Amino acid sequence: MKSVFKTVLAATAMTAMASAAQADGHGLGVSKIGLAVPNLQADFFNQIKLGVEGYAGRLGIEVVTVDAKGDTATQVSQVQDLITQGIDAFIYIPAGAAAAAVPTRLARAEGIPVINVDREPDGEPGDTVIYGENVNSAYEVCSHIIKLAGGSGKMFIIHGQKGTTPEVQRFEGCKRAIDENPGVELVAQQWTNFWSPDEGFSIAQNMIQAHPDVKMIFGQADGIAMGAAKAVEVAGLSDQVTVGGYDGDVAALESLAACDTPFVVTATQSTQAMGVLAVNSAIAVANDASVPARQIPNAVLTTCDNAQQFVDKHP
Amino acid sequence: MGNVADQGEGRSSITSLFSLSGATGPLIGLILLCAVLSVATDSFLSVRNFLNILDQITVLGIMAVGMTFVILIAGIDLSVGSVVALSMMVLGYLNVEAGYPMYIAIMGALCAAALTGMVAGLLITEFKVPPFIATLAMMSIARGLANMITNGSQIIGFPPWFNMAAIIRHGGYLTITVGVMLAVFIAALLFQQFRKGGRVLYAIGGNPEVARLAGINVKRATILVYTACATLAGLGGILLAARLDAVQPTIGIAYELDAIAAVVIGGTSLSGGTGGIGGTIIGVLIIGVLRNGLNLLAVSPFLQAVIIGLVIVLAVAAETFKHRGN
Amino acid sequence: MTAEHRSPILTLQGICKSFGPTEVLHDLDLTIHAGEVVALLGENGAGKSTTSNIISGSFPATTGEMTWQGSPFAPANPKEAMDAGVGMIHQELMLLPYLSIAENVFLGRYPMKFGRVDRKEMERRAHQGLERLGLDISPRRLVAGLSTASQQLIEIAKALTLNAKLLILDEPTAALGGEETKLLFKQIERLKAEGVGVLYISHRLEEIKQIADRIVVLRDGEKVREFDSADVPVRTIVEAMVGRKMEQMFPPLAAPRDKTVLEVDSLSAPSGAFENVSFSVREGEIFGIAGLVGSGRTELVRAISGADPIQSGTIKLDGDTIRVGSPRDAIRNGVILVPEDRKLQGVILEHSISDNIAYPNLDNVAPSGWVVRRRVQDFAALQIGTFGVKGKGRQTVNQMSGGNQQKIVIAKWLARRPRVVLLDEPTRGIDVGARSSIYEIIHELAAEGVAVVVVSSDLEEVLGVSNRILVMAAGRQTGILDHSEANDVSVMELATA
Repeated sequence: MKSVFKTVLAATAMTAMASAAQADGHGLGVSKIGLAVPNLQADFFNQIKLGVEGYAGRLGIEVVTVDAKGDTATQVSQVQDLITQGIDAFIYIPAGAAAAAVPTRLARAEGIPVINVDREPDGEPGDTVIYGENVNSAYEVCSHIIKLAGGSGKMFIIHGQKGTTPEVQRFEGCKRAIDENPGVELVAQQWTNFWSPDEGFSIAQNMIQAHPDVKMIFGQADGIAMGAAKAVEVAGLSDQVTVGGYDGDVAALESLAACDTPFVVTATQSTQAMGVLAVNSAIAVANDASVPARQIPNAVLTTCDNAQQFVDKHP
Repeated sequence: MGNVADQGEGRSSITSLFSLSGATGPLIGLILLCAVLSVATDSFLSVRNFLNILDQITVLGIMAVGMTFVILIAGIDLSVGSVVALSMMVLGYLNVEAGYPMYIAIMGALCAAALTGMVAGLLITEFKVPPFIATLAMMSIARGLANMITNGSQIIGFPPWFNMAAIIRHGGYLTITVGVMLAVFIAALLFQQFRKGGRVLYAIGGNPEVARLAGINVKRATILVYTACATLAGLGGILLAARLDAVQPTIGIAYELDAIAAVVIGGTSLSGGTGGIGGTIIGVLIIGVLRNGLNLLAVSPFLQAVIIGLVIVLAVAAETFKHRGN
Repeated sequence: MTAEHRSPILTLQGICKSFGPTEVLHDLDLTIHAGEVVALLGENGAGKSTTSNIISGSFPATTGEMTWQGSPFAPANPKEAMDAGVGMIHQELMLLPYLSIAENVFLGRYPMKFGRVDRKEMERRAHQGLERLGLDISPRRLVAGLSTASQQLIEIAKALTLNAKLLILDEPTAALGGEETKLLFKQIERLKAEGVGVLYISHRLEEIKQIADRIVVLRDGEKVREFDSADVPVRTIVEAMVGRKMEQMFPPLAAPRDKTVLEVDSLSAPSGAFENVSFSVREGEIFGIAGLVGSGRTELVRAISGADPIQSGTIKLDGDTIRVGSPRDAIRNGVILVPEDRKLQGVILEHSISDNIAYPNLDNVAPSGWVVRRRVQDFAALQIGTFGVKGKGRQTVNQMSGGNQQKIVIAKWLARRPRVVLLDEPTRGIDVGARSSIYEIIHELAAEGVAVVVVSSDLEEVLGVSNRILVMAAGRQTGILDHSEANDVSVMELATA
């Protein structure tokens, strides 16, 4: 059964590639890019979208963006529609915890280059995957708040959506920082479904209720962290608790630049740069140039001191 | 007394089969929508795109069939989205984690789904819990159970043929999943139009007391309707698992709202007793075509949400105006 | 009557009303004076509602003129009519059950003080209105749980707080029992004395003789007779309404056969609505059940038909005890109920006549479980023909008149060849012409050997149609009268015992 599928796949892919090659008469070899985004409500994905659209626009490439609103099934349908429109390259940011392999297969069957951003489905990698470095940057954020707390005390972690790559890796990095500091005690951790501020707020509030002597909170995304910081302020513990976030959302950077909340540190991902990288990779793959299987731009540790420069120009 | 005009000799058997009496507005809307899209984008009008649309509405279509029956008896089922997830997780657990053959996993998934519907039906009939509340509770319970099976993480690793059932188009046209949806449509149409059990639903929705006094076992029918609705949601979950080749407990959030929207767009009244499957199929197609068309036109995702909302309002308002005109 | 009271409040001159090409009201003249009750009679479709709708501003007359207290009157909408002093009390009460009486009375025009509702003032004025009607209830009480008569009076109180000079009452006693009707009439007399004019629409000719000063009879949109006194024989009024000589309202009674079909022994309801009721009905017998509202008559027949539970006692059919836990059980045994509230329990208004007739007969129409539309239509057409329903199978029931709806309710059952037919208020809200055809159906049933039980709050009807009459009072059985010994006095004595 499996081999039959492979043959079918290979055959369709070859014919499709042949026809794609014919269309490559002009310029870059790519005139239309499909971009599948999990959820534009999240600033991180919106930044990537802006990065892709801005850069592609300068190159004269048309970008068609679809938003799955967090639903895997919707995303599969949208990718079908993108392929129907005759895209030349496909930038795929999987939605949901189950990064579906099906969109990659669909695109592959048509010979369309697949550039994964942020995550990639198990067992069905694209031509390249671009994702923010998570482990080291999370280590740096957690080390920073541990240092501010004097190297010991109680800590909470509020995770992102359980089972997603960034959730797993950011925890891994932060755990390393905790393990290096025996005085730090991880007393509570909880998962959110949408990486959202309201979840961060209510989860942090409950945790503070249980452990009023907390000193550090790591929220795995800026939204979560800012929600948690608000909960700290409401509890009147602003002087006692420091909060670390992740991603470097626009709103988070502005908050850091103002530096008037317990939220004091984040790791700013080069989202716009990732968008540019994705477009360049798409052009390269379409022209049969080789690209690395993994491209991992670093995130930059951002505190109150250097936030303003990123507000002025997002990396 | 209003004089009653003769309404002409009986409707043709085809229209009566599809019982489009309440859905002519939506049907015209669907045709217009297709016409506009055919002109606006050259990638819309093709067999392949049409087959894509069928792929895309499979799960919604099957859920909407069950929802139609529930709404016909003046009920509501908010739990179908969660039941989709529960069924998927049971399927994944039995097949991948526990290693049972697929047919046993499918039976297990359908049974789990049916059970949730039966419990909701019993709550509604025996404990007089309003359907909205009973199924709202079931929505939460089923979602929680779905998460508990794997502690929130996804399951992958189904046999390869399972995903192929949603991808390979037999004879160039029909994937197995779409075939299942069409079979459900036909069975539901026949049941609704020609089976005693189907006609009885209209009586219950029209007026449960009249139905009871007419010797209809309203309680039994109600429990069966909720069980059927949940079972169909479970079937939808299995097909979705095939389409995604993976299962996860967070899938299907707010699917119940899509299903309700499709039923209402198709002309079935939320107060029960009128409408039917024929209209619902059109409602499902409208949603499917609209989403597909807007993607093909590369309409911005934010604008898409606005347009879909407007279409729901238009479809229902048009129907209301038609009634007022009569 | 004083001269002041004789001045006309409202006159209609040459009023015509057309809907499209059909003229439903032709050249109507009508005068209502202060302090008098004018009864407006006519069969359904005669133009009564059209007339009251024109007066109350629901729609304008096509031609013709109205004057209100001497000046021209052409209300553009119900609010204008209301402001002028026309109070319209609809047949279906329009009260909100979970608001207090005062809130209902002042709905939409709450007295305000400092930008908020002045509850004290509202309650005081509502209380005044209720007092005027001799109703001693706290205006703070919720409407839910009040008797229908009280609700009716609250509607009237609402009109009175608007300073109504003319009240239009549309079938106000349709849901009232004898006592409640008396109470209502007493209040109408009181309002008359205060100089309020009343336009009274009803089907119950007996009560019109009690309350009306003058009678206007409409037929097919035309005024056919006007009686300057209510002291007219019922027969004369009916003949004016139907436009033909009535042989007799009630067909002659036939003697029942000997065989006993239904035996009810010491039946009691768990709710206590009736206790220890025993009676038997023979083949071909028409058995009346009379009693005031709240006497338990409706509850009794509902229990026998399985619609409500039974506490104790037995029901025998042809000598065998049957168990009726649900309507299904009763129907299987051939015991069927034509329920009291036609629109809520008898038919599904938005569905077609065919479907309504088919619902209880699906096991006959579709023995295999497959419903073939043609068979449903043929089956319905047969029943429609048999019972003289004026309509086509595919029309929806809400297009039908009350009489035709009731025929549909009866028709849907009789195809099952029942042994016992329980009819609860079979002619409520049905015009005179259709009424006699319902009586004919009842007699035909009896002639075929069915045991028929008729529950009615219309005394004339029970007396006219029954071989024997069971009288109930407050849930107790107070007596069974034979046709020969039953009259309104003997029945009322038992009903109030």
